[in-house]
Amino acid sequence: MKSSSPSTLPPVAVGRILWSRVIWRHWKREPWLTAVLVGILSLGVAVFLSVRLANKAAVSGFGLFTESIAGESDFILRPGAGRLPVEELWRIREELTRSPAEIFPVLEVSGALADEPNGPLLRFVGADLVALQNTANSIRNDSSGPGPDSESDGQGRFGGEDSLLGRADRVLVGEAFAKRFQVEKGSVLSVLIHDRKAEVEIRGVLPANPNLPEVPDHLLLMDLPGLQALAREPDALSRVEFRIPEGVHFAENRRLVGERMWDFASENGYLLHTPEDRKSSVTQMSAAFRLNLTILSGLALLVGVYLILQAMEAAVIKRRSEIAVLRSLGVTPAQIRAAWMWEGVVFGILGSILGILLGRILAMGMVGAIARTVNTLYYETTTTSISLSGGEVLFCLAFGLGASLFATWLPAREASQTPPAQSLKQGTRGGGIAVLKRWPLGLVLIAAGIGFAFLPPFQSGIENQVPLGGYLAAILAVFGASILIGLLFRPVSRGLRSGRPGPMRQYAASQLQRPGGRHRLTAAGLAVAIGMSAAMAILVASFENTLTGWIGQLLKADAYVAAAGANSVANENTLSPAVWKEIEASEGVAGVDRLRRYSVTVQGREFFLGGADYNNDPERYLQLIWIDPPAKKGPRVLEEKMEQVHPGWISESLARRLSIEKGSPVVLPTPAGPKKIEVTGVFAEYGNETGTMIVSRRFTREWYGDERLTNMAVYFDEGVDAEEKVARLSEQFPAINVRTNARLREESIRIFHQTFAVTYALEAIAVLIAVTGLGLALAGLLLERKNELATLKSIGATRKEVALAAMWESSGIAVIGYLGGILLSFFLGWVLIFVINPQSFGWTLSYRIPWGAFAMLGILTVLTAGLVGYVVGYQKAQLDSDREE
Amino acid sequence: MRTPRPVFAIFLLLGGLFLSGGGAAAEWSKPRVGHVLQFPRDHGSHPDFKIEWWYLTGHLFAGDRRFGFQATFFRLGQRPETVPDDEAFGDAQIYMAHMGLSDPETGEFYHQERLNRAGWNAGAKEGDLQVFNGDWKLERVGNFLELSGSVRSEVRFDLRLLAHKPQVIFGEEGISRKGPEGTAASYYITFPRLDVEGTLLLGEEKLEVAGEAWMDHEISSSQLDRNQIGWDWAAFQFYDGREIMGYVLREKEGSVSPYSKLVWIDREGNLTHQKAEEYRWIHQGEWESPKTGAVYPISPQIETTDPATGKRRKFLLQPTMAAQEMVGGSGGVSYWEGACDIIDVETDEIIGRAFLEMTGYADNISEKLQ
Repeated sequence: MKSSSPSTLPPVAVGRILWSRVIWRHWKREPWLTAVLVGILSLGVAVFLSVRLANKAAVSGFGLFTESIAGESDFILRPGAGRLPVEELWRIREELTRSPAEIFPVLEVSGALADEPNGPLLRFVGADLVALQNTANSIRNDSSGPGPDSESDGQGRFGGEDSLLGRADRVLVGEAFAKRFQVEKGSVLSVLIHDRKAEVEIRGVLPANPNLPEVPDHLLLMDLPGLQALAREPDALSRVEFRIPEGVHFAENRRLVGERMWDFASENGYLLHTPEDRKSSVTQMSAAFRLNLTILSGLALLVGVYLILQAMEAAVIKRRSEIAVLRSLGVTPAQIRAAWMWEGVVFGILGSILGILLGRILAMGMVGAIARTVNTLYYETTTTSISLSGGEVLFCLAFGLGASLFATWLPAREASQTPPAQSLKQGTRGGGIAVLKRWPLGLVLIAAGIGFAFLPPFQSGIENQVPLGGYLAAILAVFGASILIGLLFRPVSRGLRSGRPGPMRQYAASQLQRPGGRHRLTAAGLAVAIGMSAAMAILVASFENTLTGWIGQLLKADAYVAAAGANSVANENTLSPAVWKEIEASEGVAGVDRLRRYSVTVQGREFFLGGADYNNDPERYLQLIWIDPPAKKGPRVLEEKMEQVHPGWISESLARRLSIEKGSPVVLPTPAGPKKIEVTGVFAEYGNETGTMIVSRRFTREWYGDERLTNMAVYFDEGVDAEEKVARLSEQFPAINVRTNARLREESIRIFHQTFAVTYALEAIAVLIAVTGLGLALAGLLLERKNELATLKSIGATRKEVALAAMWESSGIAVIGYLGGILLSFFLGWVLIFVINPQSFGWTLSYRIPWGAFAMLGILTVLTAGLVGYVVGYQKAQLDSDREE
Repeated sequence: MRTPRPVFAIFLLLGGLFLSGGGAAAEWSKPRVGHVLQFPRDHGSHPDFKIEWWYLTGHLFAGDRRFGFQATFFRLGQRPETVPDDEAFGDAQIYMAHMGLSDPETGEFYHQERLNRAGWNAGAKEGDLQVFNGDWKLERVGNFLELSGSVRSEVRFDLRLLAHKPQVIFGEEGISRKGPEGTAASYYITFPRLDVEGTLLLGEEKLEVAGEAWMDHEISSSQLDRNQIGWDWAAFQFYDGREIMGYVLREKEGSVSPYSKLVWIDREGNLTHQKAEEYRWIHQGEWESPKTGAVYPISPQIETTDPATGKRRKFLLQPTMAAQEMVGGSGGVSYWEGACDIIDVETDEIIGRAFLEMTGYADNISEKLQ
């Protein structure tokens, strides 16, 4: 027994009293406040979780589509550039004479629906449907085969009328496809492949297999030679997959295939991967984008933490008399702190559980938007269903609980440390965090933040740079600004006094003149929320401004021609020479820029190679925006080969991904062997994140033996009506996309906004939380000054006047929070645009502040705060007078 | 973690693969009476016929250990090649192959089926014996046959086979009839005794093995009559240097087809044909497959007259292990094919080794071989 304690109560009894007197009673008295706090925490957790889940689901469908049909391969052989010729299969067979590996050649071709040429991307996968059966046989010894029933209805023969073999007009789809496009067995789809229209019949819907990944909802499976015929690529393969059967010699067989195929790949300019390598190297490309979303989602939670901290502070103040009584009864400070922390635990658990449930729902809405962005900017992916793992649940629970405990810790300490006598004194300006008063510390933090912003990025993995310095700078700036915001109180208070203030405005100004910890904390919370949201707005505005400028300069032709297909980096559809030559030769066409795009891999990084030839008119040809301009300009400079070295321009993202610059040599793999390129210029490109290298099409035609085009910009003769000419061309070539300049601009901007849809949603949630928090904080502030309000009333102030005083005070805090937030956003925006963005994406943006949006935000914040202040003041005035009576 | 492999989605969708494909039997060549086969040409492929197989079964020994093995290469014509086939991914011919190894010491039966279309990964040469399916291969190299086979990453065997006796051709006037319809017939070429040696990689062991094998090469366009549901077939290799090839074709009503045959081969390779009524095939020793549910009579007793002595003999085939069922994967055919000892029922002595095959117990094979 502790003799020093005057209390004779056992600790369990103390706990029970603390719980019922301090926490439970409070919750019962203010159920709405409790609900709002739990709600805020759960929203923070939900947003954080939903972005994590949606990120995962959006990229997990990265396409090695045969996986969903035949299971995972051990190795993948693919060309560094172009297609793999079918003849190589005999050589591969020769190399693996004595290996039991199953070898699956695959051809993939993109397409679109004929009646929706810019609609969803379709992915045709051609596999050898006969050999695919062997996946069933190469499993374990206890394979029971299809069993006696499976052939009972067997009318499908490989040969004969129903066969899929070699057929260019018969496909199989998965259940997801059938559902998405409302089709069934026997349906006929009209599709576009390259610039041709074709009809394919759905010969069957593949049933879902619980052991395999879902068959993506845009995949059409065909017999390989059938797809070769449909796509008119008779001898082409996209890749060859190898699967080592199971058994005691698995490791040895795998090693053997790996070694043989590695040598084969190196000797012939091919690439050999394991599926995991391939997936991780590809999905790493979007890692920065996904990380940014995750961090942005943390914003809502951070603001939530501020709010909980404020609310808990308010609770400490509200329950001071109870604390004092308890202290005098002998309850120790540690016990009081523990009671507070327990409250935090309960908040944390409740909020997290609700947040996890809500997050799961939010993720479903978000996954589509993220997948669309990844498809537009990075690589082809399909969304898979959201899966919430036990690990994820625990992580979020810990995260929510941690946030809640962090927010409770300071108020709990304050509650436990305040001596009983002081606790009983109502109305003392307590509360807040003492550190917020130390403005020099704020300066130090900001200065340190600026220092961190200049750190180079942190390398994690081959493709991934993390702008660690940038993130640190942002965090320090947030904390620094939270402290420095205290300096804004006096000027704003003076502002309130200007003119001829009435007594209530005077009163409010005097409150702000001597801000308490609570004032500081409220303003800081608001400033952080506004600062972060406004910084994102700066980023988006800068992006939009840069992009619009880029599109404006880039799109100078009168019309644009491309094969049909979705706006996706995975769209490989092309225009045949017959089509583009006819357009080029048609009446009214003055000239064209031609581009053929290929996918190539250098140093393990996949990017686009563009073969371009430009309209031979020094004024009217596609002129890029230069980051590092070439020495010579003009439509023909790319054709000037110096001995065996070809000049090439690279995009900014490629320069970053390959760590090269103007003057660097690059060796390109091509079907005609490796070719030397010297980088002669670096241009800006915002259309994709993979990066592009442009060389003259004169060379790519030689290397690839290919006359097809990916797209073409068309310049009309003077006086030609662009709209009319485009309409005529569209009619003449229904399977291709012909768009006027204005139309293409419009679409580009629409896609841009679509890309930022998630960002907008996250911002809106952060602002919503911040405004809710302002209301809560005001309620706390007024409560703290119950006695003062009572005095105001006793000297004759009406309830409306008290409400008015609260309104002025609240508006004043909002102005301070808003000003602080905007100032903070200038710095955060700078860090985002000049540090985080170039380091993680490699895009140079011009800094742009959306003044209009900022003004709107300011008006909205101050008005909302005024209104909330008035309502809260009105209510509190009523309560207080009741109590006084 | 590797993704679990089983995938039958496509298989189920296609509704099972028929051993034979499209094209009526009439469009295919048929065995002709009096046709003289020429070798080595006729060891090669005959793509104008619908069905063809090269069928090796045998017994291998490594010290005290004994194994049974099977290596079968099927060619299943899908359509007569009137138009040239795609060179890499043909659809006129489908090749199916089965590899099996039984290890009575452990009771393991390793087997695998593989299916490929004509092209880069499967094919059979015309004019000489050279047939392959993935990494499985059988070819004639001089006087030898060379066989490479494997079962997943469990078993690998590389065997050299040398004919101990010359080949024989079964049937009357060069064709082996299986039913009253003229089309139900085949050219049936057999090496009744091949000496085998080579290596067997099994588990962690690499074994030098030697033994004896039997090889059939059958060429036809329709193997069975519509009324027939399957067969029991066995190749006997007696220690005295003689062999028997015998089968009963089972009919839907449960009767034995009169086209069933049993042929004695003496040491010099001379044949003695016995008709269905001259021998008896008594089903004994039921074994139920846990995988297909089929019940196989795995220890049949065969009663026949020994042409050397004119005496009635009774032979009991005793399998080295019961579970030697080749479960059809994509081919959709399951059958029992296993190594046996031959026991003289009179003396109860082991007097030779045999390979027994039973089809049509798990499914109706006739539909697939029309």
